[in-house]
Amino acid sequence: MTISTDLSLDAETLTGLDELLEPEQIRALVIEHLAGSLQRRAQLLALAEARDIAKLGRVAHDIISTSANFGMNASRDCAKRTEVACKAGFTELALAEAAQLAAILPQQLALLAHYYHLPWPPP
Amino acid sequence: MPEGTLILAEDQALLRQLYTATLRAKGFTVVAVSNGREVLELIGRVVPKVVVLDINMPEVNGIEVCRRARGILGYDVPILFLTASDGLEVLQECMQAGGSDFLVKTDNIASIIHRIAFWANRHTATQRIQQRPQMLANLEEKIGPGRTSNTEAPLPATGTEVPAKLRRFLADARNLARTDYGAGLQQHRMFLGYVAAALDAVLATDFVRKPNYWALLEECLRPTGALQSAQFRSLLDQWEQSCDDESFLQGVDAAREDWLNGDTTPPIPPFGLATILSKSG
Repeated sequence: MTISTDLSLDAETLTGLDELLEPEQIRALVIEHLAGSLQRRAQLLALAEARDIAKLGRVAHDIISTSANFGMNASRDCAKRTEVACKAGFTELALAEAAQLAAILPQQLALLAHYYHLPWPPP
Repeated sequence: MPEGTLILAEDQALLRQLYTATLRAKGFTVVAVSNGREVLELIGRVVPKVVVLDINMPEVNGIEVCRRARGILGYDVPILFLTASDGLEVLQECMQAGGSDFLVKTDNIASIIHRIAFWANRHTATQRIQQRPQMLANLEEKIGPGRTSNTEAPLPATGTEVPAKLRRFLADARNLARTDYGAGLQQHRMFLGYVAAALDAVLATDFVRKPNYWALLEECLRPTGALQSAQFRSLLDQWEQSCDDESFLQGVDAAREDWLNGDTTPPIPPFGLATILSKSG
């Protein structure tokens, strides 16, 4: 897998969404994604603090697909690495990746909010 | 125009909404549920064109749902796995459970929807053969006169026209492949042979812009949805070794026959990917 370190959003994915759905539909989904992702980030931090890598892996798994569908490839890749480390039982690596994910995620969410002219942070 | 009914099982609400909205925008009626038990209840009452399953779901996971669903639906209805897990072991488990295809959630949403639509609209092998004369006529019309012979006027070699024509051609190639794409490993390999020969046929003209055949091949295959199949990607990796495989060569022969369509010009050699790649240097 190619590791993405570029925090910019994947234009092809967002264009694909724009072509498939009406603007209002996308905005509604993005609003939900922004709020849901922040909740997952909070879970991620709590589980990392508790060193519970089994649950941490499951949260990372959820972040993989939601991030991917909104063009957040850096978050997707970092979540994937977190999940793999959790499954393999590499606690320290998993915690390090989770910390990086917690740092990347809000930055990409902010970009996504900006792209769709939505307030950031969400009200 | 209504495209038919799909059952979609996804436990993440956001993804369920996203996939449902995009599939409805494509004309499908979507019955969306959040766990495997609901799928099993539904398929006793609804006969869908396609079932799309997440793997990790509460109550009954997608793989178990697939096993049980096959006992109810038989093998006429495609069952597709849509998952964030892209490992080989998961793929094998899905296929052993009777899955028809394996879609990865991290792929572009448009590609995922395209692939689901492909399965929903696929025809049986018999229907496809019946449609072949018209499809060949359409192909001829799209790629222009003289394409049944490599001695005729070449495709334009500049701008975006060539890739566009290749994309259209390969979309048609998929439909023209004689076996039912997706039915099994042999059929996949035959399809690969078909596409390889078809692509070679296009590239063997005076098409001079050959900076990167692999990138071009990927670009051509992307609209077919094939690249979104992990199984297909795995087969692409094996393509080079497949060149001597019997089913691969059957596909090559089928493509050559289609391409020439009775023309007496010697067929273009079935290069296969190894040759394509060797040219790219």
